[in-house]
Amino acid sequence: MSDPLKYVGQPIARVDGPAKVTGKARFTVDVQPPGTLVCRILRSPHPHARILGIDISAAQKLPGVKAVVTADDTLKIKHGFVETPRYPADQYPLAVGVVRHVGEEIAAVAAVDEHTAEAALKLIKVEYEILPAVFDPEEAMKADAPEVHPSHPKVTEPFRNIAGKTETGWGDVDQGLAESDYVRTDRFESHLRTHGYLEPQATVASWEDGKLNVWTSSMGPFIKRKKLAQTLGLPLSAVRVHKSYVGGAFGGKIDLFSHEFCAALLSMKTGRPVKVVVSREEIFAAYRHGQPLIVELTTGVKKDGSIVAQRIRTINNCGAYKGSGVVVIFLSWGFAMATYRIPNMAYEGFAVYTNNTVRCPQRGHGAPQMRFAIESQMDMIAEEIGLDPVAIRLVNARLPDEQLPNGDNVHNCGLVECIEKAAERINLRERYGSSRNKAAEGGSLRRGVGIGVSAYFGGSLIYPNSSSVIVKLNDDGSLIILTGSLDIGQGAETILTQIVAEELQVPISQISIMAADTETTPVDIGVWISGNAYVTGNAAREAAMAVRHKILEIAAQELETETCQLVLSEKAVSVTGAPERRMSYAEIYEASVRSRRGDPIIGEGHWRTMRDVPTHPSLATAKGRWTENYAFDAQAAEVEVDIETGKARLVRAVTAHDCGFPINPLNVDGQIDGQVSMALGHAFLEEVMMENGRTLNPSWLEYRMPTIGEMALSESIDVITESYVVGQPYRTKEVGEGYVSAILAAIANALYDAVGVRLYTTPFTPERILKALKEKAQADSGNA
Amino acid sequence: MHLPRFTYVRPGSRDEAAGLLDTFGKAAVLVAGGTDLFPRMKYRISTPEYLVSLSGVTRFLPALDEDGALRIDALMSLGDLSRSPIVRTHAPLVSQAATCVASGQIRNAATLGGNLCLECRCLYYNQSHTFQFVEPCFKLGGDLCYFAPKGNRCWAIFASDVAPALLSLDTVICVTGGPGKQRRFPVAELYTGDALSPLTLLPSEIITEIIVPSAFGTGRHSFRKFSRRKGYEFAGLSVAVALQVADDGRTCRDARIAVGSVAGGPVRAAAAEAGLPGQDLSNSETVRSAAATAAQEIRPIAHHGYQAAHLRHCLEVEVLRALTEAAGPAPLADV
Ligand SMILES: Cc1cc2nc3c(=O)[nH]c(=O)nc-3n(C[C@H](O)[C@H](O)[C@H](O)COP(=O)(O)OP(=O)(O)OC[C@H]3O[C@@H](n4cnc5c(N)ncnc54)[C@H](O)[C@@H]3O)c2cc1C
Ligand code: SF4
Repeated sequence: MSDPLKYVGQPIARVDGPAKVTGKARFTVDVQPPGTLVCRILRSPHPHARILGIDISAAQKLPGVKAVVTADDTLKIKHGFVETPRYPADQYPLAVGVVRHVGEEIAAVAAVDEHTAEAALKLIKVEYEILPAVFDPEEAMKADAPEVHPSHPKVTEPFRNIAGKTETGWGDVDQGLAESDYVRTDRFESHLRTHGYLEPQATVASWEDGKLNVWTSSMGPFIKRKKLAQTLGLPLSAVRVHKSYVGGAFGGKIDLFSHEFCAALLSMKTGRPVKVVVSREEIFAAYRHGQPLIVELTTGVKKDGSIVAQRIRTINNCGAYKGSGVVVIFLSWGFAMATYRIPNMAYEGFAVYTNNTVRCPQRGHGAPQMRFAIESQMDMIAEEIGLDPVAIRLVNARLPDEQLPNGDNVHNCGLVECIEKAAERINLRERYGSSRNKAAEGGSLRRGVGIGVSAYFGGSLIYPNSSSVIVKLNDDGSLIILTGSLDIGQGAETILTQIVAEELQVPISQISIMAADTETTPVDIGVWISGNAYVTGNAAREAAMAVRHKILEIAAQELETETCQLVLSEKAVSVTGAPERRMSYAEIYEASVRSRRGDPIIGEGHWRTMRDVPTHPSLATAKGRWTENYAFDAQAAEVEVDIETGKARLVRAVTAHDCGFPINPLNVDGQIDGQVSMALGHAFLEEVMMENGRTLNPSWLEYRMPTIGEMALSESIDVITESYVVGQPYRTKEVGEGYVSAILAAIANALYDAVGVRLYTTPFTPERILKALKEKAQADSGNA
Repeated sequence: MHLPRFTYVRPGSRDEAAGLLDTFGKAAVLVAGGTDLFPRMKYRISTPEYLVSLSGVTRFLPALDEDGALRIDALMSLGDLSRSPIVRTHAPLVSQAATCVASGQIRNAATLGGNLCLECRCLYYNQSHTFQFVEPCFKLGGDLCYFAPKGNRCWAIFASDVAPALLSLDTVICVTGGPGKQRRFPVAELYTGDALSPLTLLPSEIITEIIVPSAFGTGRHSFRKFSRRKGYEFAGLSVAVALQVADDGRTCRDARIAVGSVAGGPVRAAAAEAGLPGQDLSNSETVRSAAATAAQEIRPIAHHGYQAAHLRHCLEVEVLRALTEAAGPAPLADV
């Protein structure tokens, strides 16, 4: 029996907490080098227009204006969320010739203050030729629709505006459906939501002596460095992205944003630091949001509920450029196949250009939309064939060590246990169906329960594909971690510190962490694709292990014993059974420098997922391995509906999750609560309301994110399937994205359980619920 | 977003403030808590050269007149209103309505007078018009309406929560237009109903206080706010009901039903009210038919993502709930 873990797995308080609560943490907006200019950006008022001319002369003459840039001042190099041979970069940082969505960036000014910068924007004259625009993806696919961009050359269907297509499958779906005992087809639609990160996007750029220094609100400095260098025509070495704390991102800060490019270009033009802080309104009305998906789903099952075949067609309203729209149609296939065994599958997904703002990942990146569809339909099927929602899921749920169609393996998959535990906690088997349409006390409130399941990948291959960490021993025995990872509020710095603390038995308070600087810290994959805890975490463990080896070697040599006789504790090494034979790390450091020609004990560690897999899977065919780590979860919801007003709310959420093991249970619970709140916003409240490409509610007030008043009771149940052993690689799974999905489906199912109506479109507004209730009443009375 | 440039003046009295408003004319705007005005200034839909602030004016605490009417300083914050024992005793509906506004922090800055003088709201209007809805609509002096492109009027919503409460209590508004230029009138006369120019106040007039008569103030009442979130949100609609009940505890003597967020000003459901005196309030048919009448006579305007038909349906539901709640056993004055 190995020693119990002291740091990993413990509810350790956040290492960035004190800096944040005392206001010392430096966010980008706090970076203010002397002489900083203010940048503001001119945006398109039109959803689709040709730019006939831009006259910046009056703006340039305005006193206090230091520079004005348009596409003509740029190298006209494109960038994109995806940059592959099939999906090359497609977006200019400043519009060239055409604007394709309201808010698209046309010009930028740098001025001495905000008032001057704003006045300058008003002086820029742009002549437009308005072009016809299209906003609905199915409209945009029609042969006579306005063309946002030509369809992808490899797409053979006669559709317009196809940005990309994913097509994959196995088995014979037609035959599978023919052999099924029960088949149904449904169509689900999800709506446009946004991330709601509290810190608005902000960038400071400072061009000094041939080097571009950048502070920016991001999700990883290395990808920003790459895209800035690329679009500005600079070598990577000429761009340094410094660390700033980040106030939340949820997927919304990965891509290169025009404001980052403009701040950099304007600093290069003026030779002065340039700062841009994007307004909340710009973020709502011009920035990247999540992806509204249409999912058409045909499923055939046997009498026992086992899935025989599934045909899925998704249509993604992907906005004016590819963004991550072509990725979501691939991912949503992955979110369809990972949870249940599907012997025959045919999947096609279309990303369709429209004159809406560009899309980017948003926590779950297609999973909430896909799970909402699949799990809703699962309950409908169960009801038709007379199974309960738990039974039908248990029949289909993947078991440990199953091989997935893409070559991945689910390893220690805990899905069955998750389903059992979530159902049991909310007493689903007994309650489901028992109170449908019954008021507790004769009032207008109805309650119901429901369940959903989901799976989510952790870490995948995407630039820069790997993470490295350096751990340095100080001469007083304390440690320094150098990591390119970035704490965006999710606790990255804390868990890396815990891992290093565990491997080396150094108290958390004795470890400092230097993070997220492209020049002083090693490369990191970035805190997205749910990879930090696994990829960077293993790199940190490897680095600590390298230090551990050196410490043990020196100690063995000095204490004249074997390394296997030594134990580490409290910044010291001692001989097993002879605690008086002991060396502190400070003494070991001194001995190492003395006896190893100055070696101060530095360890480095590297990690890359799926070491034998050359690259990420194909977005077009879904061929190729995707990940080593699937997290699984089952979530149960209790929902209350007021049948008179149609208002519904989430009362209680239960999350039974297999996240491998929780490196920090506090962080895990925080992530779960955050996802429950995000999902209930998705279900009931949040919607970017748009009309012809313009946003009607670009404010916190009207976007209606949940507040504490809407938050539901959130409970979590750990299903531990992996373990952490000091000195060994671990395979933990993700917790940051996977739990926004099953709970959304569970809410939809609980709503049905409460009042007997099925909603196929999110959000579940009072209007929609009342309408469905009315239709049901009419149908019921027709049947009576 | 940041405020545009302006000159800030901070007079020591309300009369002085009225005088300054008179002097500066159209270039000046009065500010109390600023929670309605500052967001509009950040959006540049209000760009006054001068801000005449009431923050330097001495305030008085709410007090009872000899006849039992409650006088409340228009500068009282909504937070104080919701907490004040005397208001909770003598005009509980007012403190309930105040408690429904926005959020705790905003209520602590927001004033009663400012709440009564809110600018009307519309999704197309409450934005900065830098790249969206750039052409000015009627409300911004232009000649189009984004909300109803075929119409020729403004459909913005008067969304104050406290105004319907005051309307249901027959509250009196006291204003000053400078020394010797005081007047008082029923709160209903404060509103034009026209979203383009919702208030009847003269440009230099300031609301100084309100008087809640005892008749309704301590009677049976209910305030209901229909919105999507529990806080930090304007009402989809709000309903204030005040009832005077005969000694038998069930016969209605007089009734007020006021509704907010359905039009360019708070409105009363006059026909529904008229049907109630003499009726037995414990009869569920009575209240049901009053609610149905209210939903007949008031036609809510679609706004902020709410469809008109849905609001109308919810109006009936909420009026019914409010009437039922108010007609129930006499509420404790301070709950
Ligand atoms: C996020 C948010 C949510 C909100 N939610 C709600 C809500 O749910 N319900 C609601 O009712 N309101 C809401 N409000 C609006 C506003 O905060 C309140 O109505 C508040 O009471 C306004 O008071 P104030 O003192 O801050 O007004 P100010 O902004 O100072 O003034 C508002 C207007 O009234 C005029 N004015 C102020 N005082 C006087 C006076 N004594 N005499 C004459 N004119 C005067 C001003 O010139 C100005 O035009 C919300 C505001 C925000 C920002
Ligand atoms: S309703 Fe009024 S504020 Fe709204 S767009 Fe029309 S004119 Fe403007």
